[in-house]
Amino acid sequence: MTSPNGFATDTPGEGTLRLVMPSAYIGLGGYAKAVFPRLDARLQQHYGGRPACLPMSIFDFDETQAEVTIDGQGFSTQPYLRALPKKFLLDFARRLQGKQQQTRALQERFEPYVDFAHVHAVDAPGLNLFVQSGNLAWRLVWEQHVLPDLTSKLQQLHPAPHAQGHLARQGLVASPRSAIWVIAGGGSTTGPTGLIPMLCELKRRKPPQTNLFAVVFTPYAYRDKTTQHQVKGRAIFRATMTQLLAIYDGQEFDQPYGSNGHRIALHEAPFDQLFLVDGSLMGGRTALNTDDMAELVALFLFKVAVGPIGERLLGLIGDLNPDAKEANHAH
Amino acid sequence: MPTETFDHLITFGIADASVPARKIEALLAAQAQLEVLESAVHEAEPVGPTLAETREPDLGKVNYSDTVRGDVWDLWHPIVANPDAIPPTQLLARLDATWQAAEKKLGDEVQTQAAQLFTNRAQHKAQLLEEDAARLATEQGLPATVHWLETLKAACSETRQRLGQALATYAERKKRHDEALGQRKEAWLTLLSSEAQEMGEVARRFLLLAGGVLLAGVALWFLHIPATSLVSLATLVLLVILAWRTARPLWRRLRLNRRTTVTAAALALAYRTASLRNLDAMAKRLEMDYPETLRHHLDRLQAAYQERLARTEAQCTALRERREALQATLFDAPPTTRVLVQEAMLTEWYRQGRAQAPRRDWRGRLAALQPEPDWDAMEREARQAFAFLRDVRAEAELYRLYPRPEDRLPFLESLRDAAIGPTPGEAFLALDFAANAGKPPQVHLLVEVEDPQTSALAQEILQAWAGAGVGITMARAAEPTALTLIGLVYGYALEAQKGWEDIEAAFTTVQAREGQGIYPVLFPPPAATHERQDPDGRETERGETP
Repeated sequence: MTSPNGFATDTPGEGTLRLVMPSAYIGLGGYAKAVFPRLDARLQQHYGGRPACLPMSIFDFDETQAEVTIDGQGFSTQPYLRALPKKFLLDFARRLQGKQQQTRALQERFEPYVDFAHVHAVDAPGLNLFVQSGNLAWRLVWEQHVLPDLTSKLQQLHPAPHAQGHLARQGLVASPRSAIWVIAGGGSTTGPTGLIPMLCELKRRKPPQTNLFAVVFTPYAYRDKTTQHQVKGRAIFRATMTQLLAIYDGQEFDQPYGSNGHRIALHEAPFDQLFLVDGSLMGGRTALNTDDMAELVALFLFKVAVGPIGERLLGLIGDLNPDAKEANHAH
Repeated sequence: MPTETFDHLITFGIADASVPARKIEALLAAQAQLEVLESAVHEAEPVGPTLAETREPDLGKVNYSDTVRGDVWDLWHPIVANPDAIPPTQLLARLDATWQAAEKKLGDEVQTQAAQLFTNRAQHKAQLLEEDAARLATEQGLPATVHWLETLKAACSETRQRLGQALATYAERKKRHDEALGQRKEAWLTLLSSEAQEMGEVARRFLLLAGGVLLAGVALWFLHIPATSLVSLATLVLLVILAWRTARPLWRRLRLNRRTTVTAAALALAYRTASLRNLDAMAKRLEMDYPETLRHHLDRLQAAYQERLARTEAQCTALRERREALQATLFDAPPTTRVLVQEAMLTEWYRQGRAQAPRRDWRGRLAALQPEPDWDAMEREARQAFAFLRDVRAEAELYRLYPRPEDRLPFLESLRDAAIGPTPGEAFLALDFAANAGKPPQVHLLVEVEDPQTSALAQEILQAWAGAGVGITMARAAEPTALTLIGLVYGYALEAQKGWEDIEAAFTTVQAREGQGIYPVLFPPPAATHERQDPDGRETERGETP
């Protein structure tokens, strides 16, 4: 069978429905750009096009696109890369010196949550390992550039009855359970500074019977970076994990993330499971390169979404995590 | 860390043994297309009909002879068939009038019509040649077709040269015909003139004879000379002699009428020949233009086939590159993926898919100039022919590669080691078990098999690995082409990551420099914390925009 976009699909025999576990994939920063095109390629090849219940978004302050070629077919991040504007950060940093009234009001709003002394806005792609720049930048763009996309993606996780019919006509049957995967690099800026608000926002907005997982690449996954970058990356990773696990252990998260008053408030664990990956093999005796690691992470996410093994995996994880267990029982 | 258990920290490993069905499908599809395309661009000497042997359009039979020449012929026919019917004195005028009428028939309109006949004929012929070329291209390939068209073009040139030489002889014939016509006209005019003189002589002698008879009669009556007298007899003899002499030009006149008939017929024939010669010369010129027109058509056809050849060769190059790239990367896979491919199976799969590919149709599409070949459609059809590869079963291939259990199990164990490590718990994150608060991490293995209930492989795995401290779950595979093992390792402390001391040291260093600025979010002191707002997460007061 050939899909409308030209792919030969893996459609089984007539009348056989293929399983799909509705899953939202949210990428933060550059590492997701290595994983998502590969995952997208696998999903498109399998289903003959990525179903609407498998939405993807990558949020990054670096607008550089990524593309992989698989079996002669190019797969780009272009359809789902949400390049976040640095303009707000740059303007804000510039006006900080001028003490304008508008800037002062924002500064007062974010004052306890951002260390303005360590905000360094550089007119270059990305956030350049300035953690407070990331901390501020996400807050400045969240309401206009992140939240609407997240809301629409979450709506696709539990297809409406008419959408279910559409899936059936495509030969698909949606699992009643769904998952949200947040993929971030732990040793950079965009990922760690976006990870905590992203998980908290998703956790409070996610539909029921939906598990929220984070896949974080530890600093050891960044083997090709400079020593200076690695040292800073390790520190950022340590700081991020400390805060994330503190929230998991009961620290209340209630912070402003928007110029118009949006706040993210969470009083529960911000995720069901946190996957840490550094690309080691055999207990560190050998290591995967970036492309292989991205390929294998994409393969893992693909397997979970397309086959019964995903259901089994969620069931297994549900036994580990009370929240997931609750979702399992509800199912 | 206040958490006593670490079930929320997890990592995974994944390993699979798979038949790279899509890559093989792409490779074999490229190979199948390449085989057809290469045969189409293969150099060969053409074995095709000569120009004379090629089919002629039906239009060739309806040529100028049946239309224009017939009309001109009909104009001359009544005069040539019966020139006596026209008074000799009017003959020349009639001939000239018919000549004018015939010339009129050969006017611009008729010449245009005749030229159009030849143009249409050339177009129809070109269509027939295009069909022949397509057939030849299908059977013998594109280069042979290009060469064949070249030979036809050469034949056109030769024909044109030959017709040119024939046309040159028309000039001499025209001269001869004009001379003959001139002589005929001169003879005719001479004949008409001598006939007039003869008529005068006959009349004069007849008058003399009549006068003599009258005079003799009056004299005999006046002199009362009897008719039977000697004088009368002598006079009668004299008159008879005079009558004899008078009748001689009349006999000559009778003979002259026959000459006139013959000369008139010859003159009419000469007129007709000259008239038709002009027509034939025009037709000859058109005939001479015909191979030239045909040659232009052949030029266009040949150029189209040359372009098709170039495009097909370019596509061959692209397919060759793709095939080589796929061949070179066929066994490329991440370190935890084992590629299940046997050379013998590749050959068998190719044979199977090749038989299903519409190769004859592809060859026909390459040979036909319209429409242009759709390479994407060809690729889709080729992929479709090899789509059965997506149903190739990894388990079957595994059993084919490792028929003996004592070989198969080590292979499976290598997959297991890739997913959870030789020492269970070694997934895609290096962990130091000693730093895990004295608790070993938990390890679970999920195995995708074709059918967990009936799979012999599932039974083998359970028998070999169960009870080794690793939980095993079997699940049905989403794709039969892969046998996947996913290892889950959970229940470890954050500090159990290998190299944690480096992470701590880096954190200490950077924190000393940046203070709390190293944290991705800052938690304000309790006094600064905003009060909880409305449930939708919005503050009651709206702030400013940046």
